[in-house]
Amino acid sequence: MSTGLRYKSKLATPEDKQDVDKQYVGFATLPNQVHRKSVKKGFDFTLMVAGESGLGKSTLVHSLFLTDLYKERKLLSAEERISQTVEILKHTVDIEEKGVKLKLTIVDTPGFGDAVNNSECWKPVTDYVDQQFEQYFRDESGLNRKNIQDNRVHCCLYFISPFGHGLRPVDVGFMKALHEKVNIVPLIAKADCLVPGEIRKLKERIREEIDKFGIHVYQFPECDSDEDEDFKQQDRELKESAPFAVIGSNTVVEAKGQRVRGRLYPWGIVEVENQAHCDFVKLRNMLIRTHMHDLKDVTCDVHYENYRAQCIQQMTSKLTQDSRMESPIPILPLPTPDAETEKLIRMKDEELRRMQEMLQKMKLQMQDQ
Amino acid sequence: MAATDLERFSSAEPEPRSLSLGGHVGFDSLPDQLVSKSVTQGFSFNILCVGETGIGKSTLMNTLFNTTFETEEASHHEECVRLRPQTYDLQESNVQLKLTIVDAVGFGDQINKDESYRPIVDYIDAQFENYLQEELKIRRSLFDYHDTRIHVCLYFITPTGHSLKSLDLVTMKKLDSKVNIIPIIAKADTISKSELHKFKIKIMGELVSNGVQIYQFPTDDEAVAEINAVMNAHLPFAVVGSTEEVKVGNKLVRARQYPWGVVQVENENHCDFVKLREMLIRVNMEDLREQTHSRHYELYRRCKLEEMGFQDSDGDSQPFSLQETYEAKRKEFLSELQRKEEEMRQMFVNKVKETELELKEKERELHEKFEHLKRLHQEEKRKVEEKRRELEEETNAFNRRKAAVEALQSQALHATSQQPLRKDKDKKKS
Repeated sequence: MSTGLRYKSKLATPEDKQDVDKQYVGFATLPNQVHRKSVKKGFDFTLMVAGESGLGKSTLVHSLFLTDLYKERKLLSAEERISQTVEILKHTVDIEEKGVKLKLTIVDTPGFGDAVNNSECWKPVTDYVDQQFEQYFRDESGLNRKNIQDNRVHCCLYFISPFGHGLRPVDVGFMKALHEKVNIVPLIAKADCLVPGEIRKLKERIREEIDKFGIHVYQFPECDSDEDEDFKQQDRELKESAPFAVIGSNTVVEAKGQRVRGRLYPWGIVEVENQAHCDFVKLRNMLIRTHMHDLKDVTCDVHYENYRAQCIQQMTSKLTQDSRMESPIPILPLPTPDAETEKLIRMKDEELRRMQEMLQKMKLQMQDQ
Repeated sequence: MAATDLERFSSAEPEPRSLSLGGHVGFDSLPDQLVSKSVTQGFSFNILCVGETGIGKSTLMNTLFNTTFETEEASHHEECVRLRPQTYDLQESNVQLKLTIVDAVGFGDQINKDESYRPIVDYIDAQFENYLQEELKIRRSLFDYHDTRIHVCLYFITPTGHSLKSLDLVTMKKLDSKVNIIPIIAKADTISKSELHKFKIKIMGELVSNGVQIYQFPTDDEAVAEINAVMNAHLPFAVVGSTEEVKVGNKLVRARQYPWGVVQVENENHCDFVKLREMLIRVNMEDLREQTHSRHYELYRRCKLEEMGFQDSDGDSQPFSLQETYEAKRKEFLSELQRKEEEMRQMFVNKVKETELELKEKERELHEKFEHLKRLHQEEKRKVEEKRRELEEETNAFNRRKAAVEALQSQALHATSQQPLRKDKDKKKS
């Protein structure tokens, strides 16, 4: 695995034995120690998949993690879905690879976009994300912080339908409701219905519309300038192919003498892991092999901190109005009346003045009569 | 033989006997005459395409009719569903076709799709209404009339691979009694063969269990019964549309070029496009028009006329005349109007009378009051007069007494002044 190699290459290998005792301090082994400790501790990752039914979400998750998380899944028929509400389902699995343990949680949103009336259908999702943040907030501010469970959603894969011309209103609504709370990675689902020219056009369209509607999707971080050219090239390609056009498959087929994951058609075989066929490999590399930790970091440092700041601000403004209420935070200073209250006061003043004027006018009228 | 047969025919009305001909008469050219007449007249065919934006409706139309209908790409952000009809004149051999393609723009895009079906139903009803109006006219020209009634609705199903969407079910239920629906699986190059088979079964199962009546290709005409029966089993057709040509072998065919293969539109192994074209255009186009006229339009007409209050006559009453009934209705309506007018007038008159009475009452009351007040006033005046008189009397009395007292006083004075005189006189006397 390339990442493993990278780390290993940075490990210290004391070259000169003579200078070892004089110059070599030894903290160059820190990466090793971090590696060891993290392996021992294990990792966790929460991934949310969202999008309309029938876009291949479960198939893609299966292809990504090569485990079947949806063994007994009940698919609703059309009439049952007419007034379907969105549920939140969590599946947690422990998987291990070369000694590294990963506790993977997939949050599924069945019923999203299925009903005839989908107004505010993303509300259960935003509520869930906020709930996880709140839970972590309370845990973090608690007294016993030894075993905090991090259930915050680290990444949301949003599936865009390839059958349209771009983003639909429900897509825009969902992404705008969640872009400040979770890292959104938009994907073009079922990309095997688009020829390469159409894929290019659709990606451009989606990128344009994301800019137009002001949606903040997950941005890949810039790579360091001291990385090698290969890596930089890869990184560039990655950025240029967002949003990824993916195809998923649960079945293994025989193609050119090899057994590959793919879909069998009368006119050919689509190979999921063939870079010329779709961006599945890019997605997998990005999500699992290179950027998983960055996704977690952005969630902790940006989204969670935003939530926390907002939460604290709300609580302080409440404290000024009511008496001391139950809060996990110790005593906070009283703030000055903020802009909000001042605006309110001014509005009320205006209203009073208007009412008085009206009264005057009415008095005059009565006098005339 | 002829004369007696005629008598028998005119007296009773038994089942006509079928006779065999002695030679070739020639009325077997009747269908040809009909055909040549209709060819000169030209045909009109109206297709309604309902499906999500971007699902491939325009491309399929282009592929079906092997031409390019100029349509602009629709946006996903329409406020509501609207219907966009476009009429084209096509010609093949010597047959003219006036083709109208109606697009349901914006279908399936809104967040709240509760009312998505309504503009479509309204449009279909409006076309029926126009035809009905033309039929009911006194001077009508049906042979010249451009028939805009929708003959077939192609419903495009999204290839999710699971089942119908809830919107599809709701919409098809609303449309199945108004138009011939042919469901189609669009963009079928995204479903593999095994998945497709399961998907088709699921869809048909859902349609049947929800009582949606889709168009069945007719199996009563022997010439086409067999092929239609076979095709009925392949519903819904999984189609792929393309206007681009790709070289396959040594021919240019309409196809879609993927990195992993080429999907040929006219290859029956790849998709059901050929079947759709066969069924829709080559075999059953006339049947679709007929079904629209005889079933869907008649149903609409019956409902509409029942609403207006017409009823079918029974067997033994006089033959039913639309005109008479219409006149009767009209008279009834007018008399109703007159009656209402009279009523209102009466009411008005009554009200006027009432108000008059009230006013009179009030006036009387006022008068009474006035009298009463006047009397009171007079009473007061009298009292005051009396008092004044009394006062005057008193004053007079007082004055008299005063005068008397004065007189007495002056007398007294005079007496005293005289007294000394008298005294003197008395003294003198004494």
